[in-house]
Amino acid sequence: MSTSPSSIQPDRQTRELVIAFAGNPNVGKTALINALSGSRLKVGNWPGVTVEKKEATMSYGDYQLRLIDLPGTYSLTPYTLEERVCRDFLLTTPPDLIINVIDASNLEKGLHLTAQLLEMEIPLVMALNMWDEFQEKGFRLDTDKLSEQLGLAVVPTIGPTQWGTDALLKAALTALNAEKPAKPFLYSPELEQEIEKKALELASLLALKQPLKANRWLSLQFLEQEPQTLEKLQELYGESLLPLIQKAEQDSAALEELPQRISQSRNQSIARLVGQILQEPAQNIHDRTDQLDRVLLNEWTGIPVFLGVLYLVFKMTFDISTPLVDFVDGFFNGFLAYWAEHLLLSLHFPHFLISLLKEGVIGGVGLVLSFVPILVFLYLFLAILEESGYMARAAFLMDRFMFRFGLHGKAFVPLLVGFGCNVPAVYASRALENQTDRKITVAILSFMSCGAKLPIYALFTSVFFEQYQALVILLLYLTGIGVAIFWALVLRKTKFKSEIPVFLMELPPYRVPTFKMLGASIWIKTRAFIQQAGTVIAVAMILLWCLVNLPYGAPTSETVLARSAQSIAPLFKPLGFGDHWEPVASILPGFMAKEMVVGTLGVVMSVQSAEATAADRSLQQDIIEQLNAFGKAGKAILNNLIGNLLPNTFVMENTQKDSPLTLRIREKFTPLSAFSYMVFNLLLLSCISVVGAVTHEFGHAYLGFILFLTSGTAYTVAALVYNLGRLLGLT
Amino acid sequence: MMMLAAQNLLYETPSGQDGILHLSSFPSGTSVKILRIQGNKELSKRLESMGVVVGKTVTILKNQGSSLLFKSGQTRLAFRLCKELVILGEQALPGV
Repeated sequence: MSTSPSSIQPDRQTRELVIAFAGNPNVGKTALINALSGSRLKVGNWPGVTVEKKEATMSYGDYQLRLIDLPGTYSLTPYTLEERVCRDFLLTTPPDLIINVIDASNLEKGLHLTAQLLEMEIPLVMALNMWDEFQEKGFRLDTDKLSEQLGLAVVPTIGPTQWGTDALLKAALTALNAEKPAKPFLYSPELEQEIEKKALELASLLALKQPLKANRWLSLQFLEQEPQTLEKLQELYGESLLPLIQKAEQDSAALEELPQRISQSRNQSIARLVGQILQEPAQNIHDRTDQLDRVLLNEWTGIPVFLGVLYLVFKMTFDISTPLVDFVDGFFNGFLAYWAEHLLLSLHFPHFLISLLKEGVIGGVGLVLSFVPILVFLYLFLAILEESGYMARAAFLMDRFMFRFGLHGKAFVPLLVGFGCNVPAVYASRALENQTDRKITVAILSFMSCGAKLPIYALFTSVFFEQYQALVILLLYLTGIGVAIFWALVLRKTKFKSEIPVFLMELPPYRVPTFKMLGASIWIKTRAFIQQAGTVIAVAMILLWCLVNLPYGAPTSETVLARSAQSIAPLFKPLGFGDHWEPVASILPGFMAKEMVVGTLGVVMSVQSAEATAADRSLQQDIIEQLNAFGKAGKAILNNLIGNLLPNTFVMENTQKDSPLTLRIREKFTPLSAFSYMVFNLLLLSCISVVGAVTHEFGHAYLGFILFLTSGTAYTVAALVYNLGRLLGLT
Repeated sequence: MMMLAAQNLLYETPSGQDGILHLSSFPSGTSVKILRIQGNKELSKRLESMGVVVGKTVTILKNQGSSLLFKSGQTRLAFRLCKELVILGEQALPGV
C-alpha cells in the first residue's frame, strides 16, 4: 500500500476513528494491537483470554485511533459470553472499521466469521496473521485474488515482530475512504431474493425509527431464525420489529430447511473460494504439535506428565516466592512499622493512632503485598502453560474425570491452584467460558485446603496426634475434597441446575511464549489484584485492629474481640470448642487471614510477650539489614530454584512439645474437639483476600452465597465430626 | 479395518447403515469425511463456524472412547461425546 496517512485526510484536524479487531480465538488479535499501539493488553495461547472488550489508543498521522480488542469469536451468532460481547458491540456501536484478524494457516475456518462480518456492512480489512508460521508450513496463497474476490484489502502480518502492521494501518485508512464497499459472499439466486425481500421488510418497518445498519446480516438472521439475535433485536428496537419476529417464529416451522440451505450455500462459497486461492502442503507427518500431543495426550503418559507439570508449577511457585514473602513481611512489619512508630512518637501522635497506623494500615498493606510474590510466580507459570498451548490440553485430559463430578474439564486447574492459594484460583477460574461452571468452581474452591491453613494443622496435630500427624493432615485434605465433590454434585442438580456444557474446544498449536507476553500477562493480573482485592483487605485489617485493641489499653480479655467471642462461644458448643472463648476469638482474625489463627491463639491465651523493641536501632543500620535481607531472599530463591525438586514445599514446623501455647491448648481442647476445630477452619472461607477476589469477579450477592455455603458447611461438618466421634466413644 | 466400539455412548448411532458411522467409531489416524451433523442447532452451528462442515475430511488424532481429538484443516478440536451433537461420517479414501 502506498498511501501515506497524511495524504488521506486533507484537513489537518485530528479525527478520532474506532477500529475493532475481530477474529477467531487465538489468532493473535491482542498481540497485533500491542504491536501497533505499544500497549500491554494481555495475550495468550488459550481461547477466551479476552473475555471483555479492551481498548488501546494511538496517534497515526492526523488520526487518533481507538483500537478495540474484541473477544475471540467463531461466529456472530453467539454461543459464549465473549461472543455475545462481540456481537453486541458490532450491532449497537458499530466501529468505523473492522480489522478481521485471521490465522493464515486456518484461512477456511476464519472465513466463516469473515462472511458474517461482510454482511454487517462495516468497512473491513483482513489481516492474515501468523504469516511466518503459514509460510513455514509450506502453504501458498494468492492474496491478490482473495482481495479481489472479497473486495477488501488483505494484509499479511506477524504480530509479535510488527511485520506488516504499518501496511495494515495504511490499508485500514484507505478502506475508510473507499468508494466501493467490500463484497459479501453471494448465496444462490433464490436465497438472494429472500434476503432482499427480508431486507426491504426490515427497512420499511424501521424506516421511521432510525436508519438500520447491518441490514443484510439482520435479514439473514431472520431467515436463519436465530432466536438469540431476534431477542436482542426486540430489546434494541422494541415493538417495531414484533410483526417480523412473530413471522420468523411462524416461518421456523414452515421453512425448516431454509437455515440449512443458507448454511450449505455459505459453506460451499467458502470452500470454492479457498479452493481457488490456497495451495495446501502435503500432510506433514512431522508436525511438531502432533508429535508432542502423541506424548502429552497419550492415554498412558498424558496424565502422569500433567501431574508432574502441575507439581513443578505448584512447588516452584511456593518455593521461589516464600523468601520474598518473608522479606516483604519483615520489611513492613519490622522495618517500616518500627520507623513509622519512631517518627510518629517524635511528632507526639497519640498512642492509639500510632498503633492503628502501625498495625492496621502498615500491617494491612504489608499483608496485601505479601501475597504479591506468590501471585506473580503463579501467574508466570500459569501464563507459560496458557501461552504454550498446554493449558487447553490439560482441560481436555481432565474433562472425563471432572465430568463425573458435575464439573467441566477446565475447572481442574483453578481447583488445584486452590491448594496453594485460593486468591489466584478465583482468577484462574476465568478460563471457564460458562458462567455457571465458574460459579460452581469458585463455590467449592474454599474446600481445597490452602497453604495458609497448614500452620493450624501443624500446631494441633503436633499437640494431639503426634504419632499420626501426616495421616491426620491427609485425612483433612481428603475431607475437603470429599465436601467439594459433594457440593459440586448438589449445586449442579439444584441452584445451578443444568447439564454440564458440551466440551468442544479448539486446541491451539504449541508455541514458545515470549517474555513480552508473559510480562504483560503478569503485570495486568497483579495490578488488578492490588487495586481491587487489596483495597478490601486493607480496610478489613483496620477493622480487625479495632476489634483486637478497643477499648484501647484494656486487658486482652476485655477487648471487643474477647467480649464478642465470649458472647458467641455457646454457639460452638456442638462443635466441641465452645466451652472457652479463646478458640472462638481466633476464628474472626482467621477469617481475615488463616495465617492469623495461630498468632491470635497465642495472644488471647496470653502466652506471647509484647514484642521487644530495640532501643538502639539506627536507620542506616536497618537499611543495610533490609538490603542484606533482600540479597538473602535472592540467594534463597536461586537455591530453591536450582537444587530443590524434592517434595518438601510444606515442611511442617513442629511446635515445641511443652511450649506455653501447647500447654494452654491442651487445657482448652480435647483431641476430638481439636480435630473438629481443624475441620471447621479447613472448610471456612480462606481469608479476606478471597472475599475481595470473589467480590471483584462475581459481585456482593454471590459472595454472600459463598459465605453462607462455606460457613454453614464448616459448622455442620465440624458438628457432625464432633458428635459422631463422641458416639463412637472418642474424646 | 477394525472399528472401535463406542460402548459408553448414551445414544443410538446408525452404525453400519450405508457405511455411515459415528465419528467415535473410527480409530486414531483415520481420515473421515463428514456426512451429517445432527443434534442441537446451536452446537451444530458452532461446529460449522469452527470449520467442521458436511463434506469436509477430518483426521482422528485420538479416540478415547468418551472423547475425541480430531483435526480439521490445521484446527485441532477436542470433543466430549454427547447426545446433543452427533457427527457422522465415512472413512475417506486415500488422497481424498
